[in-house]
Amino acid sequence: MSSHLSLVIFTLLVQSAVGSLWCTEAALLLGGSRFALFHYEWHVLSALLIVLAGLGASMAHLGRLGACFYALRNLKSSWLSREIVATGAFAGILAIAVLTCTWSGASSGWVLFAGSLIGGFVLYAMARAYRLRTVPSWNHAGTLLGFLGSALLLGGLQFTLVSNVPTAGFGTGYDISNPDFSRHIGLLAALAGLMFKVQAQGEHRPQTANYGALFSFSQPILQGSGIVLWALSIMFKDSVGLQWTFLSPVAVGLVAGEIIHRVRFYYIYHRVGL
Amino acid sequence: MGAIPKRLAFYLDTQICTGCKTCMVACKDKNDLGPGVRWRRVVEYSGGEWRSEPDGTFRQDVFAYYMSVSCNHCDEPICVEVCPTKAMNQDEDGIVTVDQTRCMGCRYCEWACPYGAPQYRGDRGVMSKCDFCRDELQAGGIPACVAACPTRALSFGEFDELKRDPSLGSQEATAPLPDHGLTEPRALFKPHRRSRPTGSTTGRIANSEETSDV
Repeated sequence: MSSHLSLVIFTLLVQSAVGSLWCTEAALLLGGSRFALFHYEWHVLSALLIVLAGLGASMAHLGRLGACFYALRNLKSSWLSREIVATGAFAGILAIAVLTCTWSGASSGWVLFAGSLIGGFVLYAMARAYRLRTVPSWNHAGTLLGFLGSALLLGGLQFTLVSNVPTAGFGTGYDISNPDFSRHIGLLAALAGLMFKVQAQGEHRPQTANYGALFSFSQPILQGSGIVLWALSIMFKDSVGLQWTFLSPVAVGLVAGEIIHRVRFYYIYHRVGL
Repeated sequence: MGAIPKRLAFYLDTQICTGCKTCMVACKDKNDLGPGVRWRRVVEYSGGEWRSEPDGTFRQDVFAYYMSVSCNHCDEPICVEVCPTKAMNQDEDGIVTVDQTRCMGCRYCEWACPYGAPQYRGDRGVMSKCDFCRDELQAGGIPACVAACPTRALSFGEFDELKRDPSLGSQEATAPLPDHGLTEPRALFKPHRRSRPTGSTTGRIANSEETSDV
């Protein structure tokens, strides 16, 4: 099981991209013209780059990279095959969204909506790929809830970080976004994600939980304090410097918590039989 | 080249298996398997406790038995079901094989198989597994593990014929094997007289360092 690091990176990056696209979609639906085109383009572009990085990381765990194109052959019965196809389609639709925005100078709501739906299917297929009937430690609803929680938590963070990129100096053809608006969407998504993760913990308590108290408790402490710090940062909305002073440790805490949680997910793997 | 009978199955009499591991070594030798790759493994399942007697003394109640396990060429092989590349497939004769030219070495089948049958070959970056010594069968021979077994505890035959033989004993799964319903394995294990039912937690695999690298 030495190949888990690349899977940790792959799953977290793809889930983050899906969550950030959902936040972008929500910003477009709820914000309308208040949501800046500048941010729309950067949100989609960052999601695309992160998915591509995730796909790259996933290649690292393969024994023979040259045969990876065969992975699309078993859509009939393999959820791993479906997951790979869905992730590729997700990256494709993000690329279309970026190109559409670059060429036409307008956001394409339908492309983004299709991307959000495909992103949802990516998460579902990813969870189903792990829900093997011979692996009871993964075969429960908590797997999907946990992935959904990670998507919202990391996606909300990614959305907020991209939203807080200073817009000065990027030309005058774009509206300046309303940063408060996007910040709240990111924080709300992260809060919802944390709730899903708490719910996921309740779905399955591993019998082989001998990974140590420090390892077990560090994730909720890191992420809980990260969310609190994030909420506090709203008080300093007028200062970009203070915003980043707060958001930097928030990002470190949330991402570290997610990595710990995902490493633990692979650690509790236990199948029936031999 | 002789025709291979359909639905072949291994049969193990755990009553007379001594756990000598000759089958395991013969398999490794015949298939030239490197360190850590075990298409056949011999599992020692043991446990027990002290029982108090009415006269105040204690008596041991321990058990140990061996199970030689390879791929069971299941009727519902989960490795075939989950393999994204279709490298893992079940041939017309029922033997589950892996096409190494199509395998990308994701090791997903290794996660899924409850018998640990698919084994990763690090030198090639692909999965490998028991193919029932297809070449031997086609030449009219028998699998290397069966040929090597000194007590004749391990044998093979057509699955339905084996199942019809009342002398082979119960067909219920015993620990540490999983419930047969998961993959419908095509293998028969005559239970040891001290066998524990599947799912039992009264014993443990005593030689896990010999049977896996985890």
